[in-house]
Parts: sequence; C-alpha cells; structure tokens
Amino acid sequence: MPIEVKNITFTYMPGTPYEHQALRGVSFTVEEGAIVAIAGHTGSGKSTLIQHFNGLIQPTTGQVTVDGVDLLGRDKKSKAAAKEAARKVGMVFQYPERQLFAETVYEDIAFGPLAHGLTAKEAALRVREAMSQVGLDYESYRRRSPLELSGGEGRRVAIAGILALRPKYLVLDEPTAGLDPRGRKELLGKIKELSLKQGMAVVLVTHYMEDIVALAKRVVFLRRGEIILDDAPRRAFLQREALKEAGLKPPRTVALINRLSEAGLKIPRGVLTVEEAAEAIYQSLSPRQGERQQRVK
Amino acid sequence: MLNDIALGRYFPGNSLLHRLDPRIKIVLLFLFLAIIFLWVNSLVYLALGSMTAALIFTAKIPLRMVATSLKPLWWIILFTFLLHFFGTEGEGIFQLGSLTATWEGLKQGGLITFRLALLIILSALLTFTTDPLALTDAIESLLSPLKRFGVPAHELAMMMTIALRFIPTIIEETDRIIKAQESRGADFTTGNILTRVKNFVPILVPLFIAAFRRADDLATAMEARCYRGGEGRTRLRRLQLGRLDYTACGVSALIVGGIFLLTQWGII
Ligand SMILES: Nc1ncnc2c1ncn2[C@@H]1O[C@H](COP(=O)(O)OP(=O)(O)OP(=O)(O)O)[C@@H](O)[C@H]1O
Ligand SMILES: [Mg+2]
Repeated sequence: MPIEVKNITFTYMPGTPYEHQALRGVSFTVEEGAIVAIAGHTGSGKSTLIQHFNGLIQPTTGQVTVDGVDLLGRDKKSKAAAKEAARKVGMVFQYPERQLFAETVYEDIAFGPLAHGLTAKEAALRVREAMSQVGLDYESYRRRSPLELSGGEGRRVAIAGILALRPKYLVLDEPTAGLDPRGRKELLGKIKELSLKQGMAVVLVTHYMEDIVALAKRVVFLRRGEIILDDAPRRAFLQREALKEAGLKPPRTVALINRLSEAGLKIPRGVLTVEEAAEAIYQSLSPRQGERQQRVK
Repeated sequence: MLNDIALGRYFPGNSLLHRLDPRIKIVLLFLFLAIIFLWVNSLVYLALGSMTAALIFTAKIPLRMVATSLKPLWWIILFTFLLHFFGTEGEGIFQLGSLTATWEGLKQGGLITFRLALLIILSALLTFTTDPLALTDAIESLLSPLKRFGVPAHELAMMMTIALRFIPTIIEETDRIIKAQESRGADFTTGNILTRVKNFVPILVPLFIAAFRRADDLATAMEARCYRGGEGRTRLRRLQLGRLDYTACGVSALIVGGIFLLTQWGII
C-alpha cells in the first residue's frame, strides 16, 4: 500500500497578515518501492509537501494516508494508528547533519531505535546495519564525535540515524546539497542501493536535475504549490514549457541534445544519461552507409 | 507551531504613526505610560483609550493582532482582575466559598484590567508601527548623551539590531530541529519533569551549535567589512524631526496639560 496524498491544501499562519498558501490542491501517490523526485523553484512548496508524509504538519484541507491509514488521528485509537503509520516514513531534512546532538556517532544513530522502545542489543544491531548501508565503517566511526565530522560524513551519520528506524519509505529533502561531486555520486549510489536491495520507496526533493537522471523513475514538478507535471524523467525533461514554468533547467545532457537539434542536426530526443547522449550524437554524426559510399565514389 | 508568535511584529504602512520619528514615538510612549501609572482615573483612561483606538484605526493594525499582543499576559490580567473582584471591601454580588465578589471590586478590577491592557497595547503599537531597524537607531540616538558616562550606546543598539534580526531565524531553526527529532521518535510531551528536560537535549544541543556558528560567521563577516564599532560611523538613514513630529508633541502636550488642569480643578 502506498503513501497517498489526496487533494491537500496547506496554509501557513492562517488568519494573520502573514498568511501564505503553500499548497493548493496537491494529489500525489508514492507507490511501494518507487523512486520519485520532486523538483521546483525555491518556495514552490516542496518541503511543505513532504512534511505531510509523516504527519509533521497536517493539511489544512484534504487527506494523507500511509498504507491506508489516515495520518490525522481523530480519536485516541486512530491517533495511535496514525503514529504507527507515520513511523514507516523516514524523514531526512535539509542539512540533516545540523541536527546531530549526541557525544558519539553510535549514540546519535541509536537515538531513534531507543526512542522507539528497542532494547540496547537490538539498537546496536540497527546501528551496525545502518552504518553499513550508508558506507560508514563501524569501527572507525562509532566513537567519533559528530561535531568533528566533515559535512559529507555528518550527512551520512544523520541518514543512518533515520535508516536505523528501518523505514519503508525514505523521504530526503535535498540530500546532496552542499556535497562535492564525488560525495554526491556516492550518496546517490547508496540511496539507489537501498531502493534496489531493500525495496525501500524513496522520495527525493532536489534542485539538481542530474540527481533525478541518476536515480528517479518518476519526477514531479511543483510550481507555487501546484503539481504541473508528473511523469517519467525521460518524457518530463522534453516538456520545455513545464520546465520553464517550474523555473527549472533541463539536465545538461538534454540541453545539449536540444541545442544540437536546434542547430539542424537530426538527432533522437528522449535522451537522459551521458552515455545515451554520447551514443545519440555518435549515431547522428556518423554518415549512413549509403551516403558514405556515395561520397567515396 | 512556533510561528504564531506575534512578538515584535512590524506592520509596514504609511499612517501618521508610521511616519512619526521613532525617537518621538518612544518618548511619547513613555510619557503616556507614566500618565497611565500616575492617574488612576476612569475618565483619564477613557480619554487615553479613545486615543489608542484612534491610533490603531488610523495605523490599520488588524484588531486580531492587537488581541494577540495581549495573549502572553492574559493570565496575569485575569489574575489581577479576580484579585480585585474578590479582594475589595464593599457591597457583595455573590459568594464563592469564603470569598465575596463586590461591586466595588468589579469597578476596581475593571479599571486595573483596562489600565494593564492599555499599557500593553500602547507599547505593542510602537513595535507594530516602527521598523525594528528604525527602533534601534532611535534607541541609540536617545542613549547617546549617556556615552559621556561610558554607556556603549552604539554597541547596545547594534546588539539589539542583531538580536532582532535573528529571532525569526532562530524560531525557524528551532521548528526544524524539533520536527527532525520528532521524526526520529523523540517525544516532548510525555514523561515526568526530569525525562522531559532530558528530552530537550536533542533540541538544545543542535540549536546552540547553530547559534554559535552563526555568531562566529557574523563576526567574521562584519570584520571582513571593517566594522569597528560606532566611532566615526555615518548613517544611511538619518533621523530628522519634521513638522509632523512637532505637531505630535504639541498635541500630546495639550492632552497631558488638559488632564493635569482638569484634575487640579477637580473636574474629574
Ligand atoms: N514556517 C513557515 N511560515 C510561513 N511561511 C512559510 C513557512 N515555511 C515555508 N513558508 C512559505 O511557504 C512556501 C513554500 O515553502 P517551502 O519551504 O515548502 O518551499 P521549498 O519548495 O521547499 O523551497 P526551497 O527549495 O527553497 O527549500 C514559501 O513561499 C515559504 O515562504
Ligand atoms: Mg525546501
């Protein structure tokens, strides 16, 4: 069963002069095991939307369900059920390394499992597992202070802190922001691995179209609190109007192919990765058999 | 959840009150606060109340925000009222246990409550209609005569400016950290006092780290732009008294003088 967002609106600070409607009728589903990217201009409501997925904020109107359970518990019993359902959603905020607080990496990652009532022994198991999932060596990192880690290491620790809860859905708000190219690639690789090996569903908020190319099977464009497009990246990036409206630029590969095509080259569209782009350019530049023979003569 | 705080909110506008020199606003505010303290008299309060209402109306401050400004002190206001209502000698209205509510208490309590509300609303009007930056400029300017006695007026004002600037940022940051830790299963609402205090560690530690880092960054940024305190600094916006300010002073003087004379002659 999926996360289902049914026609929600959300208004910040209603009834004050600072009132602001951040979401206007958004409907959206995250299927089990899917990798979905959410992209949009700054202030388009991405962070607001994902905070609904584990009940951190409740929609002003509309409904959010996780595996069929409404996250808005109305009475005591349904509240407990809502809390239980929300736990299946692991939420990694923007710059998550800034929320580390414990004295050691181990304690920080164990915080979630212990808070959820696991025994120390079970928690230890979870910490090991989570650290290996994000590619941190257990022995060399567990005793270190989170404060003395680099940004990239800190981010992995923070993500491990969420993975230790074994979420069924993993939601990440700009996980690669501020990382160097290699750190970004490694992190994206780990996320992909989680999805493939554990069947974890991943929702990824990002400003980097290259991240979407590397990871997502589906991409959603938000503009001023509305979804303007929900499609496979391959098709989505060809929608120039939608991209422009959402304030986004296509990935560099797509932009290059577009330019070549505009310059008069006959070239197949719907290209996504660097390899595909190289292949397409090669194909369109190498003259066809017949033409070549003609020229030789 | 933390966003609902109306603390020190500024409502941009162009009313008389908005255009008044912030120094004059501060001085006049203190003048009227003093009057409210000195004359406990229903007619005086009625006059000042109407003046306040007129100011709120012309400054186009939403009434809801005016009410919100009273919210933090709501309990104190209620308590004061009840204290007078039940604690004043006089003709009884009804009995509650050993306590007697009296007509005199009702009158006295009403008066005191009105006075408290007036104090708060007038002060709130200052922050509602004054840009925080203008406010700190004004405070610096008003304190500057004290520089001779070693009061660091500029530094105090700068500290206030910075603090004001960072309040929203820190509120936002706190909100985010709370949400992040809640997502990891932190619980801030159950347990006894001790566990609850302990539960705040995951919020306080990141918050302090962030605050220190930010302070450090800010200090570096200020030094990089050669900031060295108030000595010899000129201003982009200079405060200058205009006709409006003199008029406001004149009108206030008339109000105060009028009240003074009326009470002297025993009319009110
Ligand atoms: N706590 C808040 N109080 C009031 N308004 C808010 C709050 N948080 C966000 N907003 C407003 O809601 C809108 C959507 O914000 P949101 O954080 O969801 O944007 P975003 O798409 O995540 O942007 P970014 O890419 O910059 O992270 C913005 O216009 C923002 O100003
Ligand atoms: Mg955001």
